[in-house]
Amino acid sequence: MYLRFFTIFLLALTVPAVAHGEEKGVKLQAQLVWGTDQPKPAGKNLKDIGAPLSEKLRRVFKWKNYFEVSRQIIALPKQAGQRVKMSPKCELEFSQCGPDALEIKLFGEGKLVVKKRQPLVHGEPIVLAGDDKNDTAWFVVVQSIQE
Amino acid sequence: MKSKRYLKWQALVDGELSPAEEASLRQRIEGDPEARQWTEELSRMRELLRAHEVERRLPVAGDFYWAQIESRLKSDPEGATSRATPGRTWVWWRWLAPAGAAGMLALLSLHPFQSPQPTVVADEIETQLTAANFFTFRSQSDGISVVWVDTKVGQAMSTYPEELDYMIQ
Repeated sequence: MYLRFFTIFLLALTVPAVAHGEEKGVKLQAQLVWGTDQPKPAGKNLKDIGAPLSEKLRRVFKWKNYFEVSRQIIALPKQAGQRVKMSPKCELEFSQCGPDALEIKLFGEGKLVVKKRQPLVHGEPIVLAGDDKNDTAWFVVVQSIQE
Repeated sequence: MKSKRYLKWQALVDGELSPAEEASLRQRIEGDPEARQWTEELSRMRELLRAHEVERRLPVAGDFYWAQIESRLKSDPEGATSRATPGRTWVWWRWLAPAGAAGMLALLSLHPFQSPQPTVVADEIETQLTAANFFTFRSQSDGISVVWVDTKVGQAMSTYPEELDYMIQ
């Protein structure tokens, strides 16, 4: 009798602890963005990135205009990586490293351009960026979104 | 006059002379023990620096700082928020600030501290690019983390080994 109670008591202690320690999947949004001082070029399939992100980028970078080239939504399961194509030559690979951290690998023409581990803070975009032609720039903006 | 000679030798070691100039100077250096010693030392120094110079990475590119300063100046042209007006408020604040700090300390001393949650610290960056610099930057106030991939490090050598301008196509 006492042994049964003791087992139930132990289970009651263990189950929440395991559930708490379990790493949840995360939903991410990745955007390939082009930064320029020129207005949106005609005939190109570029979208506005929205005022909040645009303002955020403008506070840090020198370019006036930011346009979305492509966007991917990634449901990243726990303990599994996922690779997405942002453009014919630009790919991203995501994996979770710990409950609140993300590992991002950016590939250009199949070659690893940068691998970065970063704590994932909701509402705080992680931006990988570099120079593009004619004093423009490319940006890969990754942020978590609500499930 | 002598300093001009030293500059020529330095230019030779740095590879800044034309092929004709280089050939002529090398010929002259062969017959000049002082010049030979100088150029050998300079070459050795150059090699040592290249091999052992500690790489210093800036946490953020200069552009980021200027962009921040510029945007703040634009958003607050009169400096209204940064200018404090001394007066009665200041007198109160002078007393309230230390009292508040003491109160906070008292509260903290009563608070049962928990062991800190493990946090992942952003680690070193990995890459397969052979000539690139990386600037990492996190602005808590702007709520943004940035990794800037600078592939123009070879610009001074007039070569762009790895351009990334194909990202957007």
